[in-house]
Amino acid sequence: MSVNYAGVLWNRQKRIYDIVMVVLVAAFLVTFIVFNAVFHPEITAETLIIRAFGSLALVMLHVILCIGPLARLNTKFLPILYNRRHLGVTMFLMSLVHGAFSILQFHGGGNENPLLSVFLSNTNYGSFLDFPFQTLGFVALIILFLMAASSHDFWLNNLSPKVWKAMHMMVYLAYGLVIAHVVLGVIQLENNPVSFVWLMAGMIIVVSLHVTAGWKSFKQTTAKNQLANDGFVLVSKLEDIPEDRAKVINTHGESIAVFKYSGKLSAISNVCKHQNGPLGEGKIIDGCITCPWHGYQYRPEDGCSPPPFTEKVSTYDLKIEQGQVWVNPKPYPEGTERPPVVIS
Amino acid sequence: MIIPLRKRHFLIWIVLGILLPIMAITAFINVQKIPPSEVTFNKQSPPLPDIKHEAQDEYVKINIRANASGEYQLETIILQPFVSASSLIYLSNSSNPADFDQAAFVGSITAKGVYRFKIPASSINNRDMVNVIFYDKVKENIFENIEVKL
Repeated sequence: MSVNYAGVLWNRQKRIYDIVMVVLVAAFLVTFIVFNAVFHPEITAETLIIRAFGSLALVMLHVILCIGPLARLNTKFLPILYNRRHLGVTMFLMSLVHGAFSILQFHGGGNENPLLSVFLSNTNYGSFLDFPFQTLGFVALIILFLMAASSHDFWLNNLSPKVWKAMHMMVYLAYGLVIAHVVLGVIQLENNPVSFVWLMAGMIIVVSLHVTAGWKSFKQTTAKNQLANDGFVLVSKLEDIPEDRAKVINTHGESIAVFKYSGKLSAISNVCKHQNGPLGEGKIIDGCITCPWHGYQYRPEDGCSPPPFTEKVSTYDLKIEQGQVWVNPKPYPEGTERPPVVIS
Repeated sequence: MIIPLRKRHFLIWIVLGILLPIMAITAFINVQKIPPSEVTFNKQSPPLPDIKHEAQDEYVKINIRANASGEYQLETIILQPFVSASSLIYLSNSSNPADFDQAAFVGSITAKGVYRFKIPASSINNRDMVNVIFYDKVKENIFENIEVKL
């Protein structure tokens, strides 16, 4: 959270995250290269680099795509969501090495421009099995580049979270292109069922996690809420809200997080101003509601970030009746102070 | 994440969950029985024990190998990749390009590496030299010619 732009706002968590990432990346590359150098000595160094970095990028893309739904299904996974952007940029760099070496090896040294050669060396665009699979990887690489280049908060603020998020959903298109690149490329060329089984396993895990998390959200957003005569909507029993945590309710087109803390209750919008993260899945830290995604903070009583920060979210009225918590889904303007409901 | 975006995510993954496995399984069950990698890169024969003659330039090293039974083998070691995309190897007893139509086809090469071809003893015995010619089939020109003294 910052009032100014900086390259990277380093903190302890980010350093640990990046160190672990670099160690795992290096371990993968070393293991892959040593294994292949020992068991497949006929493979040239260029081919080994192409395969090692391509495999690593594919594994990283699967991991990255699993993080979001895992964090939605279980809050224990939230720490790996925190610095996912660095993971994404690293994955792009690994893909770039794979792509650059592939273009040099297979398209360099000829009469044609190597980049044009990617699109012109195989023109079976009307065929499924003989489709020029390298073009699919190339387009995926361009998408990953756009995402890596626009990953900084500068772009997020200038494009707005809604546009930025929608743009970064292109990763799903990139994933589809990468899967097609692999099944029409290396799977066809080598006819190795082990590679195919690994790919299918990864795909099943990614799709299952996303569909499960999506179904959970869908059920939450379509659940019918009990409505009182005065416009208030039932949230839950008071005891069902954990201390310093929230209960989220989706009603009347609003997503509302009701927090219990220090003998009080407050309700604010569930949508963080930074990247639309789910504030209701965060917790109260230092008296502020803290977004589980990137640590943006808001005061529970007025939905304002503490100075010098300027983010604001909507607030809502609450009441407690017979041990049950009710919320009025009509939002107050962002940053409006509402006195917390005291738990008697 | 805002509710409409979550719904969009959910729909996208339902579509991907149907399309991606169909595409992957269709591609896998239609894989060619002999993979192109094996068609393109033939497994090399083991080398014959004795190097009888050799020659080398910047791009290629040539060894004429033989064994006690009088079999001969042309070993071609590509030191640097050729610019030519289509390289065929011929043996000729003449260094004159005009005599190329008399040359005997030996085999084809692709990437950097070692290639071994069985050659008839008659192309070696009782001769004082042989030319190993590299021919680009697409451009129809000789781009490399190495003379091996016998």
